[in-house]
Amino acid sequence: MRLLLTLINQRWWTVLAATVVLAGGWALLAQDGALPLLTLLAGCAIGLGGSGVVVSRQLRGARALREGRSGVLVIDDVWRELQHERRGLLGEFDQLLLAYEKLEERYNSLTENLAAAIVIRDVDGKIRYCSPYTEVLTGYPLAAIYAEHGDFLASIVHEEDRERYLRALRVNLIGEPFHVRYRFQHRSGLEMWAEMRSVPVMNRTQEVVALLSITLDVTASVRYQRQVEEKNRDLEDFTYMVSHDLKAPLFTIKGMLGVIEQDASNALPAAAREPLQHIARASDRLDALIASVLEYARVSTAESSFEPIDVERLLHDVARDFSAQLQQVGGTIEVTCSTHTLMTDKLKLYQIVANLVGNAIKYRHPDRPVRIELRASGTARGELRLEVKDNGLGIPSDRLEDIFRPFHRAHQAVAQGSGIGLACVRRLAEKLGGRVEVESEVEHGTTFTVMIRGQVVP
Amino acid sequence: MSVRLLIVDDEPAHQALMARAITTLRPDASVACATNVAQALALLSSAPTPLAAIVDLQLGQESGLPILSACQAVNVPAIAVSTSTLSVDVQACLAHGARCFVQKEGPLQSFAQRLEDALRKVLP
Repeated sequence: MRLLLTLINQRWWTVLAATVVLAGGWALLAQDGALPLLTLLAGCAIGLGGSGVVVSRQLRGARALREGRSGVLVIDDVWRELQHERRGLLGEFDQLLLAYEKLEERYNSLTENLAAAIVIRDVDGKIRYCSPYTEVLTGYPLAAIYAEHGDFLASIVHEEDRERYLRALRVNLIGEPFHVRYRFQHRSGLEMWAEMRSVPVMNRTQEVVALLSITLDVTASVRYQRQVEEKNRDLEDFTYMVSHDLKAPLFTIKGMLGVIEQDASNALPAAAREPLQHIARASDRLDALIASVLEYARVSTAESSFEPIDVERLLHDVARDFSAQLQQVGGTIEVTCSTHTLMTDKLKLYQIVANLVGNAIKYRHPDRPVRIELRASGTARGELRLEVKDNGLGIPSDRLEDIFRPFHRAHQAVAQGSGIGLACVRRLAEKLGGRVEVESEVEHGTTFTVMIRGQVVP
Repeated sequence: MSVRLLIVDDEPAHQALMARAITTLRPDASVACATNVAQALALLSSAPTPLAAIVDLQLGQESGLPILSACQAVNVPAIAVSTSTLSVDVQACLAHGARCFVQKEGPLQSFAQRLEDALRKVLP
C-alpha cells in the first residue's frame, strides 16, 4: 500500500517523497496547517503496516514519530531547525577548537618557559621528549640528549646518586610515582643538585607506556640548607662556648666573692665593701644574661616533637601555673577556647603562652588589676589562632618593630629582664611553622596573636 | 673517720672553691687535687684510694670523661661537675659512669650545699 500526500510548495521535498515511495516506503509531506490531518493519516498508514511516515513541523514531533516507526520524512521547517542545530554545533566546534588551541598555546608556553625540565621517556629509558629548559639545566644541547640511545641524563648523574636515580625510574616502570634528589654534573663541570618527580604514564589497560618526569634545579636551596646547617653548628659551638667558657670565670668571681664575704667581710673597710657589692650585682646580671643567651640558643636549635595537643587543657595549665603569681599581684586570667586538638610541639606551645602571660604580668598597669585573656580558635586554613590580650602598660608604636629582636626591651625601667622572652616567642612560633603579631595601645594594653600551623581539629 | 676525696679540675680557683665547699660542710674531709687526666688516673691507682671523686667535665683541652670511666672501673663513685648546662653533657657524664651531675654556678653557699647533697648520695 502506498500513500503519497504532497501538500507542500517546495519542489525538492516532493522529489524526495516520490523517491521514498518508489523505494517502497511511505511518504507524507505537509505544510503549515495540515499537521493534525496528516498525523492522522500517518497513523493509519503505520497501522496498515507501512514502512513509516513522519510528519511534523517541529523536530521534536518528527523525532517522536520516528521512534515509533522507521522511515523519515522531513518537512522544510524541520530542515531549518536541523540547519540551525548544525550551525550551533559548528559554532560549538569552533569554540572547542579555539579552546584547544589556547590550551595548546598555554601548554607550549608552559613547557618552553617553565624553569623545570619536563622529560618523557619510553619504557626502555630512551628520551622521547624534553622541554627546552633541559638544555639550561644540563648545559647540553637538546640534540645531544635526543641522540643518546638510552637515558642521556642518567649518564651525567653523580656516581654515588646514580643508583637512586635509576631505582626511581624502575619504580615508575611498575606503576608507582617516585621522588628523588640527586647530584649531577653540568656540562660546565659544576656539580649541581636536581630534584626529580617522576610518574608513570599508563594506557587504558593500565600498562606503563612512558615515564613523565619534571626536574627542578635545587642547587641554590641545597646550598642554602647547608649554610643553615653550618650556622646551626656554629650556634651550637657558640652555645657551648658560652655555656662553659663564659660561665667558668663567672663561677670563679661569684665563688671568690663568697669566700671574701665568709672570711673577711667584717675586716674590710667600708670603702672596699661597696665596690665588692657592685661586683656581686654585676656578676648576677652577667649570670642572668648568659642564661638568656643560652635559652635563646636552646630555642633556636632545639628539635620539635609533634604530637596531638589538647589546646584548651594546655591553656588552663598555663593559667593554673600563673595563678599564684596573679593572686600575689591581684589579677585574673580567662581562657576561651573553641578548638581542641592541634598537632604541634607541646613544650614549645607552652613556652610561647607562658612567656606572653609572664610578660603581661611583668608589664601590668600600676593603676588597675591585671586582666589577661587567653583565646584560641581554629582558622579556615587549619591554623591555630592564639591571642594573649592584657590591659597593661601597652607598647609605644615606635618600639613595636624591635620587641621581637633579642635583647630589646620596650619598658627597661619598669621591670628587670634580659629582653630575650619575645625573641624566644617569635623563634618558637617559627619553629612550629607559625608567626607572631602584636597590636598595642599605650596605657590600654597589648594583644599578641600567634598563628600556628598544625591541623586543628575542632 | 676522715673522708678522702679527689677533686679534678684544671682551674686552680675552681679547685680551691670546691675544696672549700667540701671542707666547710665536712671539716674532717681530706682533699687531693689533680689538674689533668694523667694526674687523676695516677691518684686513683695509688693508695689510699679516694672514697669519691669530683671530676670537671672539661679539663682545658682534655675531657674529664675518661676519668669518670676509670672511677667506675675501680669502683670509686664519681660526681661530674661542669659549668655546662647542656643536656648532652649531662648525659655523656652519666653514660661514662658519673653517679651525679652538679652544675658549677651560683653563690658559693648554694654550690657547697648541692655538692654536699651529691656526696651524701654517693658516699657509702
